[in-house]
Amino acid sequence: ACGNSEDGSASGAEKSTLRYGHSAPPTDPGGVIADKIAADTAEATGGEVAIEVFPSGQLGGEVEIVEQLRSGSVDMAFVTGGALSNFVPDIAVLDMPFLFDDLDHAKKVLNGEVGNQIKEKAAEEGFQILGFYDYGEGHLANTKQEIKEPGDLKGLQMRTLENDIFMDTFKALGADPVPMPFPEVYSAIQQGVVDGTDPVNVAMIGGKLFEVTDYYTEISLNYRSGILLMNKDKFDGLEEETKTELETVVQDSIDHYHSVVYPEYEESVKETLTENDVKIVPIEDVDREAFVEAVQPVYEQHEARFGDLIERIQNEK
Amino acid sequence: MIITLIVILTVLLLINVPIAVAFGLGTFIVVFMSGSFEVTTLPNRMFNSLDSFPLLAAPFFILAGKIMEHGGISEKLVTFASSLVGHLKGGLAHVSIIACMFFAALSGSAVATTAAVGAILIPAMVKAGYDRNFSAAVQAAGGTTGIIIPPSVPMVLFAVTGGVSVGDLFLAGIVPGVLVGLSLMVVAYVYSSMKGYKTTARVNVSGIGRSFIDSLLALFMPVIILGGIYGGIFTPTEASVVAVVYGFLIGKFVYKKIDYAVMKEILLSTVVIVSSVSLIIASASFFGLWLTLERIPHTLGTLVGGTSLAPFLVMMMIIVLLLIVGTFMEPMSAIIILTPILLPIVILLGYDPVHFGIIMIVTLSIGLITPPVGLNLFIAAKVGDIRYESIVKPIIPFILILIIDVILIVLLPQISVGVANLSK
Amino acid sequence: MWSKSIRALNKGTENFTMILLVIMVLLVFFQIVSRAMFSTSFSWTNELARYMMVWLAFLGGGIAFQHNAHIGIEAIVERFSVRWQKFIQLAVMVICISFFIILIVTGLEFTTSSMTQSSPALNIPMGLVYLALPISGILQILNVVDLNLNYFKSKETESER
Ligand code: NA
Ligand code: NA
Repeated sequence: ACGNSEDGSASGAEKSTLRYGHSAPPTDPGGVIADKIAADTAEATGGEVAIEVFPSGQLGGEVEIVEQLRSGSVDMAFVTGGALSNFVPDIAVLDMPFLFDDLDHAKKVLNGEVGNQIKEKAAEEGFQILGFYDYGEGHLANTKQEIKEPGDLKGLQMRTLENDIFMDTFKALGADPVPMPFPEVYSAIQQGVVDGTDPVNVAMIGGKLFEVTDYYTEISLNYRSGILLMNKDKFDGLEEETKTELETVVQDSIDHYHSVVYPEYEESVKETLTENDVKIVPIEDVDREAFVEAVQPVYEQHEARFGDLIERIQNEK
Repeated sequence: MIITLIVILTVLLLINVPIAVAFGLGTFIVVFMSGSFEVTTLPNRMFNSLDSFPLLAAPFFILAGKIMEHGGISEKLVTFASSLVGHLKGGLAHVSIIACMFFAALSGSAVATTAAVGAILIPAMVKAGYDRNFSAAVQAAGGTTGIIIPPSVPMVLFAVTGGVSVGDLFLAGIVPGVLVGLSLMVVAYVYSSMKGYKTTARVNVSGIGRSFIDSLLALFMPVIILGGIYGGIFTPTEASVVAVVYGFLIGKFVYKKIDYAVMKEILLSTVVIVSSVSLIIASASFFGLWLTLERIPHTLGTLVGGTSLAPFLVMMMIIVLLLIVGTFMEPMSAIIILTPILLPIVILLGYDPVHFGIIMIVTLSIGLITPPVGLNLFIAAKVGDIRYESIVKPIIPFILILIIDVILIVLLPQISVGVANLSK
Repeated sequence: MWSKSIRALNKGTENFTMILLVIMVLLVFFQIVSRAMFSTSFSWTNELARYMMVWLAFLGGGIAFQHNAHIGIEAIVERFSVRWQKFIQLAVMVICISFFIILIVTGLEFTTSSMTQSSPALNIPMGLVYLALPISGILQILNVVDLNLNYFKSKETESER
């Protein structure tokens, strides 16, 4: 099927199929938006471009999906910034703790010149970034106690990704970071191998972690971006008209995602947590200043990697 | 294309092309002919299918089993087990199934269960006079409980993809897991009676006591693993390494049976087994990716769901579909692809999602012991040191009883969801 | 000369993969001990152990041929006459070699294209990690050829008797 899309550019009437891979279940925000993009594209192009969605990691883990996208077996992918940072190191800057004041700040940065720089770097590696979405924010879930200040984390074994910035963040906060693959996390928390983790809401709800954790602090420790990608050669090979149609569809999806899908999901998270007796610690009850203070060593450790990126991001408020 | 591929695979397999090569080459030819995706996906998929931490448990448990065998631990454990049940028909076969069930309560993986228990008990059964092929088949079948009795990695995946509670699924898996274990023991009993396996004389209490004390250090191994996992010290995957280290220390310094030469032999045979099984996992996974990208399970699932038959008949068709898919694909991929298609259909038919999750997992676990791609079969055959095709005949009765179990689980929802409901 | 070199190569591979297995055990054990006793974890232990397993699996493929460990279905071929068996043996060799050539070629292409991709924890080029695949292809070809040379030599002496 992948040959078709190239043929499609030669004669306008021919039908082409694009494969779209992502790792979210179909009902998660990432899954909902994938289906919307597929439906809208079919409508906008009058059925000329069909998008086949492969959800739930059917094609493999996020990094593998990106690899398949780069080789051309997959045409489009929605992945987290973390997966793409293995190919485009600058993107790892988004993993820095408390980098953004809020989601608006993140939006401004990613739609501004920093976002453009990331897009250019990605293009050099063969990726066309079609859009940035809020994937979520890392919060703190655990089985031991309410976390309101950095001292509450002291000595807790917190699961995180095999990512130096995330691990150093926990170290700076006094916790013991434990890297662990996601499928093992549920049982590891249940059996007490780890005391908690730093999940985004889709992991907390979709990954069922609310069943085994008792306390949830809405701290927005770090920002996770969702990035919609396309194989650059595939994108360049599209007809100008199709490109414009696709770009419109994507822009619509971004607007819809941030105005409806994402906020509704975030709202439903609170309900699910309350129903399941997870104690929510709202950000108002948290000494955020103390946390921001405590993670400064992480900046000293990693700043050099990112040149002037951090400064530019902080200036863009 | 699927027909072409099946023909190619059949020919290659029949002329004794290694299974890893047959699946890799067959799929590659079809991909190349149809241009359905880029060829570098072959190395890409083969690598990524093995790059998994939970998968590490298999080599470690195979290694641990070999160390226990050569280090004298297995012998002590088996002597003790024989003193308890050796006088029963098929005593050791029952021991290995029960051991699988206990192990299943620790590990979330069928492969790890087969590897861990099989590496100890297949050699022991052979020593006690059981047919080697049958011993391996018992182990492969017993290993299926690994994903039915909680914890279970495929259950977590089903819960995440289907949006049901992991906790409810885990609870609902307990009784079906025990049912499966008991039914496998029935088959083992009948087979052992037919073969007239000799039973040992009943051992009196003081004999059992002596053998208990003699095997104390060996018996401490499961205690350490159990305690470590439930005490929250290590994960089930990490437990495999604890087993290796403990087995080595006891075999080397207490029983003094492991020297440099023995250790080399243990390591080399583990490498050979791990490599031959892993390469099949890698190639079969490339084949599985092709099926996924061509949407073949997806199309079949939609087809089955679209029929307007009575609910029970639709469910039976779904089970047949799952058995067919399970013949070629491992449970996790099948769950990820088919859950979103099948779950809405069965909910409309009036089935409880948790009930269906258990049906799906038990049915797919049968796929682990059906040729041509049955991971439990590969591991049991390798660990039991028999030819792959030799395990096919003795496994058939086990497959049949498991299918009966599935039908029972469909007809009597109390078996699965009953427990989950009780706890509410 | 040929058999001597193959034997030396396999000896080397055997030692290398056995050492990998030992290091994997030590790594994961170290991970448990450092976490449980010293409350310290490292981002790279897990990843390194996984990559080592993949290397072990792929490099072991060649040795597995020598131990007749690759899983296949032997029963049917054995029913044929010796003449047919020889022919099938040859065909299987050609089939295996073609697959391994594919593995080498696609593996090298994948390796080269992944040099700019870094591993999540160790931060090493993924291309180096993926090198296990083409190397595996080479080792397996050499061993398949060696096995067949020995097979036909032994069949030759059989028929001379
Ligand atoms: Na289990
Ligand atoms: Na199977």
